[in-house]
Amino acid sequence: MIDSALKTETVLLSDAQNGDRAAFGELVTLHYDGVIRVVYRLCGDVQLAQDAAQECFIRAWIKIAAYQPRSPFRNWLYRIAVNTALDLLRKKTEESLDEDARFKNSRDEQDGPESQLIAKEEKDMMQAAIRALPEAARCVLVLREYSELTYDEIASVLDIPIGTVMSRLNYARTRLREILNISWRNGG
Amino acid sequence: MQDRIIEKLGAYLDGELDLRTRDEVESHLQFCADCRLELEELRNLSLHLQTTPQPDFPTAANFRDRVMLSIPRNSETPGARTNDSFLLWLIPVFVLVSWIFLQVVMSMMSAGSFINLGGMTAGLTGLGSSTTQNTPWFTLLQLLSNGSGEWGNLDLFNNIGVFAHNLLLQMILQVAVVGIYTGLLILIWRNKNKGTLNSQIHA
Repeated sequence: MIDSALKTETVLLSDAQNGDRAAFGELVTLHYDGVIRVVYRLCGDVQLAQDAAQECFIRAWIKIAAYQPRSPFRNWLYRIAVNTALDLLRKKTEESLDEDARFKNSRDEQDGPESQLIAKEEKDMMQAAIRALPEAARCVLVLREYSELTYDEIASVLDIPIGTVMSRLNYARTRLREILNISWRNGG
Repeated sequence: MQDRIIEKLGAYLDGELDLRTRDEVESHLQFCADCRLELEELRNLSLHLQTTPQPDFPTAANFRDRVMLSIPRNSETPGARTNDSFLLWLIPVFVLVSWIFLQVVMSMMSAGSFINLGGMTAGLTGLGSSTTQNTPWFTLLQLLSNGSGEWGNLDLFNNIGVFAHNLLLQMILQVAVVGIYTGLLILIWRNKNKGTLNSQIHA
């Protein structure tokens, strides 16, 4: 089952590299979930994540002829996704992100039972805590926790040594716990 | 020892330790309550992260349609990019070669002019030279004195003036040649880039 899926992706890749747009469209469908999960966790903003995901696939299409099958296509794609998400995040100002959050919060607070509101608060708190991490640590954490890449794959995606992956992940988890402990003590 | 084990707990949780290190950690966990607590907290954090819900996003089919409308007709071909990259490196190489050529020419001219100032090639300076041997002010002085008289230091100043004049002409000529050559290279490079971009959009 896995072998046939891999074979399908190999065929699609080869066709896409020869200019077959439909084949690339299939690749987009295959990898959309993974990419949107990564970029959303990096950006913490729904609209920004959609823009980043779209830009990621556009860049992938432009550069697909240069892709070498030395590493899995998914890893190559995630590298583009991470870079795109960080680029867009840097361009968007902190002020406009806060405005989006305030707007979403004020609109959503009006509906749903209390349990949903609490769940939403926890979700927002977790996402804000992830956003508070430095970029380097955040990337490693997101790729590990939300894409379940191995340390080797993360090192390949981010082009860093495995030892750096381990140290950044340790730092990210420690820091995340500190931030969440402070948030929970303050009642969110 | 405990700090060393704590550092490895994340990798242990992720299943990334080699066999020997994993056994070492597991042996330690059997008798260290603090490390077991730390491992449990890491496990809870990971669970918390992974179970945090994600907002609703468009379906894969909708997203794919949007992407297909946005992507250019053709992807980049590796060959074109290679040629452009090669040309980018060619331009500064040619500018550098031209600059070295200019410096060599100027040095040779300076050496020749100093030899001339010393009068060693007095008889040869006119040969093959289309430039004037006197500055305008020196020519005027000669006319006013009807060509008579020794000029002494004025002769030296005249030679310096002629030398500077010739040198300036040569410098302007060389700079012009370098500028035209580099300009041509840039024009060729820009036209090539424009052609590649147009073929991507309109093909």
